[in-house]
Amino acid sequence: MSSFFEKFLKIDRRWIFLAVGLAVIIALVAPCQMSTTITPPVQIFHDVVAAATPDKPLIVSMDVGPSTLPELEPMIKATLRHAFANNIKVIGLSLLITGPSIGERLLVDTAAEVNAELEAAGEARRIVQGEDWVFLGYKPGVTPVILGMGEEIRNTFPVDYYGTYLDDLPMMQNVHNYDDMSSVVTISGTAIPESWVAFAGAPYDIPVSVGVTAVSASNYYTYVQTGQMAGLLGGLKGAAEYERLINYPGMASKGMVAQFWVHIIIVFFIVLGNTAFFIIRAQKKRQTDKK
Amino acid sequence: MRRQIPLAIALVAGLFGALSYFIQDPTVQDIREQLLAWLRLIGAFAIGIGIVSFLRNHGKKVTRQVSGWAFNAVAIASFVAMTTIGLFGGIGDSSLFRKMFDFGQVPMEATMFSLLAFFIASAAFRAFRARTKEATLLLLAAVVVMLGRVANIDWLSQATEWILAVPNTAAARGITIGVGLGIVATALKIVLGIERSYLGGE
Repeated sequence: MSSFFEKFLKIDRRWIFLAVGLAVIIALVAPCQMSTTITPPVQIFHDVVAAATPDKPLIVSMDVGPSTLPELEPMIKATLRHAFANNIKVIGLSLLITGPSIGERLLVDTAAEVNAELEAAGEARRIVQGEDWVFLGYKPGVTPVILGMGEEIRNTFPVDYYGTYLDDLPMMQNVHNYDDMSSVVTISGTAIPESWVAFAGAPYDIPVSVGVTAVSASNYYTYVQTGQMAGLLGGLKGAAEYERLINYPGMASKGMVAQFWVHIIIVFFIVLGNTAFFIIRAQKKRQTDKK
Repeated sequence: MRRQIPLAIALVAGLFGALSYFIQDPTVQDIREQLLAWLRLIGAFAIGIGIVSFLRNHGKKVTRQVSGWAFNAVAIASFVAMTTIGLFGGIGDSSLFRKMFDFGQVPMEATMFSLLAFFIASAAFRAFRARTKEATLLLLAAVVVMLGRVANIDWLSQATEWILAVPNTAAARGITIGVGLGIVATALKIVLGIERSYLGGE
């Protein structure tokens, strides 16, 4: 019996890889979704975005790279959809070098999706670049960029991603600094949200809502409790909760099924591993006592 | 003199940067804005330094043919290719640069990150053992958080939120305050000229 458990503890890790791989593939292919419980940090995030008014645009800082996209892309899409659906204008930008092309793609795609839905619903309103959203692109140096936007956005970004002067964009006519914006949404797999809190939230008193990967979410609960961060989306779960709040079951809701099964598999292996470990330890102790 | 001038600049810039935050005089704010513009320029120069450092480090390994030098050569070739394509072919929607980014770098980085799930599962099975009281506590917290993040069960979800909002936050806040105080102390040491390692040597 002991050798069985010892063999089990030395199981080829490729079996574990296979179990995880199958769980992910089946969960993503199968036509099922999961409901999630709404947690307070996500509810706050939702309420802050919803409180924005059409005359004050929302900054969406997409400080993302490809590696964290599976977790962060659903957050960005949900935020943009939430804004566009509520007629809230969006200023998109990226403080990470890998972010601009991802940010631009998400803005263009989401605007097109919302436009298709508006058309299908028979509404005349359309989401138009320059009127409902602008994309500023990337500027190096996180701190000076955030601080500079607090004085005059044109000093930091004289032109948008496409080379159009901000003064020529209808949406930007009366937008100069954080006083003219409703709030900041920063979505990132890095520590950039802390910079937004320190250099925009604190000095300019603008709410900063944050979306991060699950692995870094635990670091930011302190900021949510103190009110320095106006809401927090943590990982795929946070994105799925937000999708549920805006009634848009997207990629995160789908991904939660895969995450559910992978977590179950990991817990199953941990429990089995510990059971085998204790049985072997008890048997060895018994053998030692006999001697 | 070679040391005194940089030290004086650090003292004046550091004190001005800190005090200008509290002085709302228009002249002071104008100077502050100018300094911020300089800061942005310095930030842009950092990219240049990064490129030089990247090429020097990888180039050295290629020329010395150290173990795995082929990977360094691939890194340099990729850098040169992307830069050339971006500079001469543009970075617009339909450009080759954009296609290489969307269909090359994005899936490669996503693949690297997604492999973590497999290794975490394997590592958790092998290393997560309740050998001591502390390890048992950690293991229980991990299991509750892992299940609470995915299962739609109210009490489990609440337990997860409690772990994240109370014990986790208590530890994280201690670390954050410690780091913050460390940053203030280091900044003061630089401004007052006590910490001079940024000048090189010492």
